[in-house]
Amino acid sequence: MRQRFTKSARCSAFCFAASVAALVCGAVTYLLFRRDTYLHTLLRRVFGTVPQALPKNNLLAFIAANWLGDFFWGLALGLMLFAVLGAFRRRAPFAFWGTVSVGVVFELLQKAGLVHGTFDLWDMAAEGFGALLAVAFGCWVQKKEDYL
Amino acid sequence: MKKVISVLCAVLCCGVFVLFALGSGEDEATVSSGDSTAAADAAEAQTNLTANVGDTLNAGDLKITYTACDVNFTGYNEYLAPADGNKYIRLTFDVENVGDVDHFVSSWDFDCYADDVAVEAYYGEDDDLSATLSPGRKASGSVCFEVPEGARSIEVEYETDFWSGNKAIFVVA
Repeated sequence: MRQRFTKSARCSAFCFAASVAALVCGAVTYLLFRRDTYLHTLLRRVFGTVPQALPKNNLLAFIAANWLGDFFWGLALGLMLFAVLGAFRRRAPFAFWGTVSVGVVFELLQKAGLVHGTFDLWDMAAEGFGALLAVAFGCWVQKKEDYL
Repeated sequence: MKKVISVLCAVLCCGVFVLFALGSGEDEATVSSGDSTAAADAAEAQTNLTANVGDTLNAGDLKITYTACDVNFTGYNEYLAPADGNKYIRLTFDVENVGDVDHFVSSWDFDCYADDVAVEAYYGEDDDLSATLSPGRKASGSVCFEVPEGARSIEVEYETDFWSGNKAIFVVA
């Protein structure tokens, strides 16, 4: 089985799966801590109800509610870009800067009032941190493949 | 060719993730009133907000204050009288643009249901609500509907968010 697929394809598939997992984690974060996203609207229409939002009465919950979703978004996009660009270490900077660029542009659009949301530098930091972790993880996966 | 496909896939990914980011937008509408318990309950419900006379609906960039309600409006144009068995109701609002961009608000943004049946609006008044508001500007106006005289429940809906379809309900006392 391993010989049927190149190392690059295996790494890409692994990073793609990790990206999907990060997206699921981000969705769960929104479900737990937010109250009125479009995900909630979809769940209300399908199931008729949504889970009760957790209270944000401590620092961890506050950080999770405000920035964990952005972190998982950056992580997922970084991993997805790393996967579609072939999962080569030399492509890691493209994946990282691509994610950061999209995040920064989106925040600037929020600041300009062209899209929903509030401009927040900490959102950009969370997305950048997610992107950094994504390329680090992708490079680690690729390195592990070298030794297998 | 492979490079082109990779780049196209990367651009597509970015587009999809931008859609995800848009979908996570939280622009909650709230109702503020003298009763803090009611306001908190309404905020928690997060589906349909309810506003009574005197309440203010905060829907994104617009602040809509429900100032008055006439359940049997008789000051209509004599040539536009309601059909037999019907009457007019009239709700008055003060609207303020608290955002950074222009917003258009009009009586077309409101829908009325009498006993859960949609009813027609009445546009015969001079102070019909219709204005394009620059940031910081205000407007006042009324919205009128023709409802059956024996209607047990009359609710006027205002869509607070086009994408989610959430509505605020102005209660006709």
